[in-house]
Order: sequence, then structure tokens, then C-alpha cells
Amino acid sequence: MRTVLSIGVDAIAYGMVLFVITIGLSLTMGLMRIVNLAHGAFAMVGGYVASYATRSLGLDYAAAIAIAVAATVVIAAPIERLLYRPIYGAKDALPQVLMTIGITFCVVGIANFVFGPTLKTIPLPPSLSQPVDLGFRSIAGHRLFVIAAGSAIALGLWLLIERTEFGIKLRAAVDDTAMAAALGVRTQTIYTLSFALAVALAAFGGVIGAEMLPVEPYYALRYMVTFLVVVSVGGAGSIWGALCACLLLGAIDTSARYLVPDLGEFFFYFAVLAIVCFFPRGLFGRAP
Amino acid sequence: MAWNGALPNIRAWPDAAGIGSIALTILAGYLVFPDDLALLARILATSLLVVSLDLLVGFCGIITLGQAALFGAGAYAAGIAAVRGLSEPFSLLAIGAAAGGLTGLVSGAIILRAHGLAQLVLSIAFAQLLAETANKASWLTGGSDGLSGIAPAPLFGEFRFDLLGRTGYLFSAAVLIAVLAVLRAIAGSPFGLLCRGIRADPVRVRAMGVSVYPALLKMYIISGIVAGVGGALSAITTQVVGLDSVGFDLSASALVMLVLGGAGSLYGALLGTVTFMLFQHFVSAENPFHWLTLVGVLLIAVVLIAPRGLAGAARTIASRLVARWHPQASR
Amino acid sequence: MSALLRIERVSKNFGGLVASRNVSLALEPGDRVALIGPNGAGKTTLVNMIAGLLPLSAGRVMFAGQDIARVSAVARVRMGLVRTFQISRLFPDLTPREHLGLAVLQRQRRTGHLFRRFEAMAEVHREIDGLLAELGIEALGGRAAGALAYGEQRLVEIAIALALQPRVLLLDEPAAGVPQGETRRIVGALDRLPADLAVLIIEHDMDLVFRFARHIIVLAEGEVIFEGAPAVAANDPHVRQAYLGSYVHGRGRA
Repeated sequence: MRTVLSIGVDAIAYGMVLFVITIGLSLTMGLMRIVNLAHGAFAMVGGYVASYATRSLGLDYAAAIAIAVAATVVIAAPIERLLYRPIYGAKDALPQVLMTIGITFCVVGIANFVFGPTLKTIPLPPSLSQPVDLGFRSIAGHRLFVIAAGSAIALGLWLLIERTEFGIKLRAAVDDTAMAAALGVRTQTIYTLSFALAVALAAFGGVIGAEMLPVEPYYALRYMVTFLVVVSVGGAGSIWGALCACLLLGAIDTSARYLVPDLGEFFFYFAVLAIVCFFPRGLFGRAP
Repeated sequence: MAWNGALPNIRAWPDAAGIGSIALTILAGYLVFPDDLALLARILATSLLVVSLDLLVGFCGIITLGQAALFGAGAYAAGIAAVRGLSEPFSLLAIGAAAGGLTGLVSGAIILRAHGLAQLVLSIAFAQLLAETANKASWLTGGSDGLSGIAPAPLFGEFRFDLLGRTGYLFSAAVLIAVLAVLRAIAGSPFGLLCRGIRADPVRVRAMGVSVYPALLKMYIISGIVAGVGGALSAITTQVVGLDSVGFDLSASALVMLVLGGAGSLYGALLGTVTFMLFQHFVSAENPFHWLTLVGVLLIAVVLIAPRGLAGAARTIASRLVARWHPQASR
Repeated sequence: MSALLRIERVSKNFGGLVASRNVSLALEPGDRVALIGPNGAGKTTLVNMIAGLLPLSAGRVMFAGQDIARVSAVARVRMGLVRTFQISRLFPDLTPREHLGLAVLQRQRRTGHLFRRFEAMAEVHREIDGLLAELGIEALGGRAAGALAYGEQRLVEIAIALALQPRVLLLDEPAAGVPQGETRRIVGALDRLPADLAVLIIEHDMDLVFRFARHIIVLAEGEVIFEGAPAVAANDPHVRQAYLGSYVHGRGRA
């Protein structure tokens, strides 16, 4: 019983980290029709900045998160303008794959050059590093924080997309970019804002997930596959699809690691093959 | 034949003269760099991987980041056979080809079910699954230590695969040339024509009454055979098979080599492989992270500046030169 | 006797939108039937259903006495039910010769051959030469299709369809997008179609329709509102109202 609960909490927390990092990727893929392999690189940049802010500047956790998110968005802005715009909506996915792998390689190489090849930690504040007593048992505070943050972001995004003017324009642009543009929606602005939001969420996820996905130079490559898999299983552009996919794959991965540690990865990829094979557009994917 | 001002179409696949000049270049490599034959042999084996990828990406428009699965299957199959006592080089090649072709059939059957992102993810997931299998089945594959103790028998019972790598290099060269000749024939065949049609517009092909999926699956098998031969060659000449031969890095590198040279052109695939691996050899030895940055910059540059790769850029430059020297010849 | 192609009470709904309602028609070998109607009348929807690209909501499509509801689009082509596209869909880098070669090879089930050179298949090239000559485009055989004029591309489309030796040919606006002066060559090509071929043509160019068709079906809002000889159609009040009427209205508003 104890194990089941702790596996469960870890699985949900892990799924939520995946969700926070990848939901931006899912939305931008749905909107801009871009296969973006470099998304994890922005999570990694966030992690590096937060580690630097806490370790070297002595800032507290909350400030480090804010700085990490802001810095990553600032770093990503020129990349979006110079490197992503030429490949939005390309009818062939190959240039997108190449460009974003190229960006990933550069980020990995530069991060190592600037910060060195070692693993970076982001110390948690005491309030999160201690277990929280829930009455019937106690749970690591950090796990609870991650789960809460993930839920809040899911809800917030849902409200943003369903209830705001930005959301209406966004959905219009997703459905039919040319039509939205003809109706006066400035799609380029929508693209830029969505990209910034996606990067900000990735950076946030990179920081709060550092306990489970440790920050190191190969981060962007190591988890590239996982992030793509999650988006592909969830179906690009669907919040609930992404959430379900993250929780499902988080559960499969975490429980496989606990229960059959020898075959952990094996189960994960097997499940991915099965799911993608039977739902080629993702669990909640839209018809093309 | 009289020079009529038209350039040979180097985006197309080479003719007999083209294959001859590739053979001469390889021979020149043997004579000029006798001390680096091991590296050169590795380049030849990798060329087969990149050429096999070109069959899918350049010829059919399938994007895969899991091509190492086919190469690794050939390498492990040949390696395991060699360790278990079958050491005749041509038999090992045949085993590698069979394993690659079979893996191509299975992975193609899965990967071709999807399109776009899902296709990419399936290709990665399949390769990772195979890599995990190779990692865990250490009793068979040597696991993370790699499979060692591969001792191929002398070629024709005569020429040893020695430390200098002369036999290995020449053997690899001969195999590569033979494969290129076969692929050239396929490129000019009705099936080659069909694949070009599928790459351009699968819907139109269906409206002509041709089913696309079986045709692509067939190409996947051919690609698997070519990659499998490359893997077997690498097992024979390096005499070890490691997890890197099925890894994501190799799949990604192969794609980089292909687009660097220019997808859709056999020369491009070869040019990309040689350029990339020589660079890698010298820069990567200095600092692997600088190497990674450099590859990243190269990729970005290829997309922004030379979408048809080195071969395409060379063609553009050559046609400009021709236009300058023979203004009347260029329309 | 059952017709070669028979469509029986076919309907198609997209959600709440009715694109076709209870449409029936039959084609015998040698028929020249035109399907006309204002934009949005459901003509292309009907062709897509016959070609197997869209499932039916109701009704049957019979080909040579067989219900082909479960026959894939590819298999329908192989049975001899061939369509052309409203907008030219050629492979831009391939030459007309290569396009026709693919079609001829498909008919002979030889597109999978790996070790025969396409260029050396003399009998295929003889047949291609014949087709190119028939459509008057011998000179274009070796040029990339993407570089051809639009009218020439339309002729290549027709040649491809003929290379498949169809029994029923569905022509989806063969003259669409072709400049006025160039339609003559398309009309000529249509006149020379094999006499025993059953042809269903969708076309907006009324000169072409009245010249080519011996039977006209008028669709409006998914329904057949007239069926009969061309001369009668031109004077039928329903047709005038649904077809020409909306046309005039459309002009008036523009």
C-alpha cells in the first residue's frame, strides 16, 4: 500500500513536470505546424539560469524561478525571430527537424562552454524540501508543489484559451491561419506571443522539474525524445490530451522504473509504439 | 559526345562514369592516406548508412530519426554470428543484409502507418526499443560493454583483416561500389520512378491506381538491406559492435550527414558523410562540445543558406561558372 | 441489363450540411454525360464518392454489376474507374513521358520492377509516344511537368487517364483555369476519346458542355433537378432558375 501510494505520487508529479514543460510545445505545434525538437533546450536554459541565480547570486527559489523564466524568454526572442520564422508552416517537415536539431546542438554546446560539463542543482527552499503531513501519511513537499503548479497551469491555460480574446484569436489562427489573418487577426503577433508563452512554460518546468530531470549539458538531447513522445501521444494542440498523455506516460515510466527497474525504458518505448500506432493523431488529436 | 553546354545533373544518381570516379576517389584515399585506413573504412561503412537513409528521406520523403536501428541490426547480427563461429566475411555480409532487411520490414510496417510528428516519434521509439533490447540482452550482445571478439576469417581464405586495415578498407570499398551499382539500377527502374512520384504527391499516385504503403514498405526493406550491409561491414572491419551503433546519436548524425551533402543525390550522401566524419575526427578530438556547436551551426546554415546541401550548392556554383564561360550555352 | 456505372440514390451529409441528396445516374459504354450546376451544387462531392475518396452516407455505387462500397480508391482505378483532378496534380519534377510511363506500368502491374531500366522498355515507350501524339503534345514529352503551361498540363492529365485504359472516365473540370484561346486543344482531345469509353464530365464552360455531352444532368443544392438532352436543358425553366438564375444573381451582387 505504501509503495503504491509513493509510486502514485511520484508518477503524478513526474507527469505534471512533463506537462508543464511540453504543453507549450504541444500548443505551438498545433498552432504553427512546426516540429520543434529544440523545446527541451529552453527548459534546460531555464534550469541553468535558476541554478546560477541560486548558487552564484544567492537568490531564493521564487526569485530564481522568475529570473529563469524571464531570461529564457529574452534569450528565445531573437532565436524565434531569426531562426523559427523562416520555417513556420513549411510544407516539408525536414527543414524544421534540421533547424531545431541544429538549435538544440548549439544550446548544448554553448551551455557546456559557459557552465561546464557538471550536473547543476537548484537548492529547494526549506518549505519544499520537507515532507508535508497529510494526516494519514506524509509526502515530499516538492512533489506536492509540482502537482499543484501543473494543475494551476492546466486550469490557467484552459481559461486563457477558452475565455479570453487572445484565446479566441489563437483558436481562430489554429483552425485556419489564412482566414484569421483575413479577419484582421495579426497572426505573426499571435505566433510570437504563443512562442514566448511556450518558452516561459518550458523554463518554468525545467526549474521545478530539476529534481526529476536533472539539469546537465545533455539535458536537451536526453529528454528530446520523451518530450516529443508526450506531445505526439497527447495530440498536438490539446490541453487535456497533453495532460492525459503526460499522466499516462508518467505513470507507465515511473511504475516501470519501480517495479521492473531492469526493463524500465523498454516498457516506456513499447507503450509509446503501441499508443502512437493505434492513435496516430494522438489520444485527443484533431483530424488534419 | 559533344559538349552541349548542359551540366550533368548531379542531383540525379550517378551513371557508370560517376561510379567509376567514386571508385577512383576511394582508391586514391588508399594510396594517399595509408596510415588512416581504419578511419577511412569507418567512413565507407557509414556511407552505406547515409545512402540507406537517402533512399527513404531523399527518394521517398519519409523523415526518420531511427535509421541506426537498421544499421545496428546488421552490425549486431553479423557480430553475433562471428562470435559464435561463423566468420566467413561474405556470409557475415549476407547475415547483416538479412537482419537489416527484416528490421526494415518490421520498423517500416510500424513507422509508415503514421505521418508527420507521429512518424518521427515512431521511428525514434522503435530505434530506442531496439537499443534497449541490445543493452539488456547482454548475454547475447555484450550489453553496454559492447560485443567484442569478432574475428572475421581471411577474405577468400587469403587476405587477413589486419591492424593496418588494408583488407578492411578495400573490402569495404568493393562492397560500397557494388551496392551503389545496384542502387543505380534501382533508381532507373520502374520502381525508382514510382518512388519519385510518391515523394512528389502520394495522392496523385493513388489516383493512378498504385498503392503507396506497400511501395514505401518495399523501399524500407531495401533501405534496411543497405544499412544492414553497412552495419555488417562496420562489425567486420572494426571487430567490435557497441550500443552506439543503434543509438539516437548515430541516427541524428546520419541525417545531418545526408542533409549536409544534399538529400536526394547519391553524391550528396557520400560527400556529406566524408565531410562530416573528417571534421568530426579532427574537431571532436579537441572538444566534443565545440563539435556539437559546430554541427548545430552547420545545420542551421544548411536550412537557411543551402537547402540542397553541399552537392546542391556545388551545382549552383558550377552552373553560374558555366553561365559565365559559355553565356550562349546557358539559356 | 445493368449499366456499367450505376449510382443509386446516393446521399452525403457533412454534419448537418447535405452535399448530395438521392442522386441517381447510370453510364453505359460510349456515354457522354455532363454534370453541371452552380458552385456548391455537390458535383465534386459526387465525383469523390464515385472515385472512392469519400464514403457514402446512403445509397449504392455499382460498377459492372458489383457494389463497390468497400472497394478502395486505388482498387477502383485498377477496375477501370479513373478520374482526373479539377486542379492539375502532376509531379513537378517528372516529365510527361515519365507520368505516362507510370500509368502504363501500373496498368501492366509492373511499377514494382527493380532491375529493368525504364528507359530501355521499348514497348512502354512506343505506347507513350502514341498517347503523346494522340493529344498533340509530342514535343513536351521530355520537359519537366512543372514547367508546362497550364493548358498543356491539363492535356497531360487527360493522357494519364487514357494511359490507364479506363472503362469509365470521370473528368473533373478538364478546362478549368485554361485561357479561353487554349480550350480548343482540350475540346479536340475530348472529341478523340475512345468511342466505347463512358465519360462523366463536370464542366463550367457551357460551350464545351453543349458540344461534348449527349446527356446532361443538372444538380442544385445536392439534388438532380433536370436530366435530359442538352437542347432541352437550355430551355428548361427549373434549370434556368437554379443555374442561370443564381449565376445572374451572383453577378448582380458582385
